Amino acid sequence: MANRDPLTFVAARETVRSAYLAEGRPDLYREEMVNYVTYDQFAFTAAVSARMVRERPAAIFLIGYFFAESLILAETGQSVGAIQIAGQADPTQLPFFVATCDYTLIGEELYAASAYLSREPILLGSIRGQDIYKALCILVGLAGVVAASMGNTWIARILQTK
Amino acid sequence: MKVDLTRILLMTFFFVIPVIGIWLGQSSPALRGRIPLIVAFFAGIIPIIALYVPKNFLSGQEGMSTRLGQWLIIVAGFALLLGVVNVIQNSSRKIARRDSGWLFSAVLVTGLLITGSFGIWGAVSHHGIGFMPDGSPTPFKWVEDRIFQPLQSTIFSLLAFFMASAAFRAFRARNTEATILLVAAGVVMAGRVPLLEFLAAPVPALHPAAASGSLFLGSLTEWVMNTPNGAAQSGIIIGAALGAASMAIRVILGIERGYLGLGAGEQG
Repeated sequence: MANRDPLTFVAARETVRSAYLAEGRPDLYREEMVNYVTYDQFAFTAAVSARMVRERPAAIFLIGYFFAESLILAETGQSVGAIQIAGQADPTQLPFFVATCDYTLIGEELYAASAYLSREPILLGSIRGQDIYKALCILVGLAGVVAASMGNTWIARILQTK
Repeated sequence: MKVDLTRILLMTFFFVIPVIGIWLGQSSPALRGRIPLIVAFFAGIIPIIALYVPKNFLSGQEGMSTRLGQWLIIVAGFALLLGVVNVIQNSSRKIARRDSGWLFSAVLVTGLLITGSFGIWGAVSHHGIGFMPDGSPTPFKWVEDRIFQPLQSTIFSLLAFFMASAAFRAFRARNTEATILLVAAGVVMAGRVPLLEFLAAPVPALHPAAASGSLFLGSLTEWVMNTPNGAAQSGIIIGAALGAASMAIRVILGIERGYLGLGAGEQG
């Protein structure tokens, strides 16, 4: 697991370690599995792409916040024949992932994945709360559209940002 | 003597409480496991409160949230050092074992040491990492301009080839969705460039028709980008923002604690 941000690197290491522990195979975990690469965008891309080509992994998870490097990484993964799962909250690079990856976690699905996989009741509850809040947002949005169409802009004014 | 409330509170949350927790944790491992959760709670909740409560001791120039931001920069500096140490450790191990690709690791370590030493030389000699007093580049700047930037541009330029192969795969009309994608992409591409004018260039009689056709394609492109595409993007952004807020609340409240090496339900 390659890391770009040194701040999250230690947390990533602990997350992977706990995943091995949870599956009952702590003996398979080695610290060098999770390593820091660099903060620089294309140096990181070059390092990870090269690693994909050298190690030819069976599965690649491209999860996080990507920019122009998204397609380079996803296409390299595709060329080595790996199953690819991508996930990004921001929609800018999603089309590239949808075009090149086998599965793509779009937007909020990225944050719901841990609850979906663990089936923890508290995590699932927060997803449920999120859905209810989203439904409320949609209703308020629709009410705003109807009100604005009838010449009343008070909902639009309430929702207006600075 | 003026009492600096923000400093006292920050020291209490991020120094006194962790130290007491570590001390008490000598006899109670369960308590020791909770200390990072408490620190994460304060680190997460203070900027949120500062956003909604415009008080000087929270969001002012020397407020708690502002100071936390400054602390984050300091922590990031040390974390970067940790990252560099990790790179050197991993690469050295690879070189010592002669693992596959060890030569690349050797190049990496050599580059790191040379560039790093140029940076340290710049700091020691007070020339910095930009230009010398005579206008010539410092060794660090020379490495950046002559080696690093061209390498970056090389990787970036590969994107054009990857984009072509991805587009070829994505634009095959295998099913209804892919066909819609193909048609929409065709319209947007044609609307972004003066394609019709280019095609009508050899026949002057067709120029007015080509110009009005281009205008139509341009407005169709704008409609595709702003209406269906904009609506879908807004939906994704709203959903993602709610998801991020929900995730942040889970982390702040200690429900999501995988980053500490603890499962969601584990009592640390």
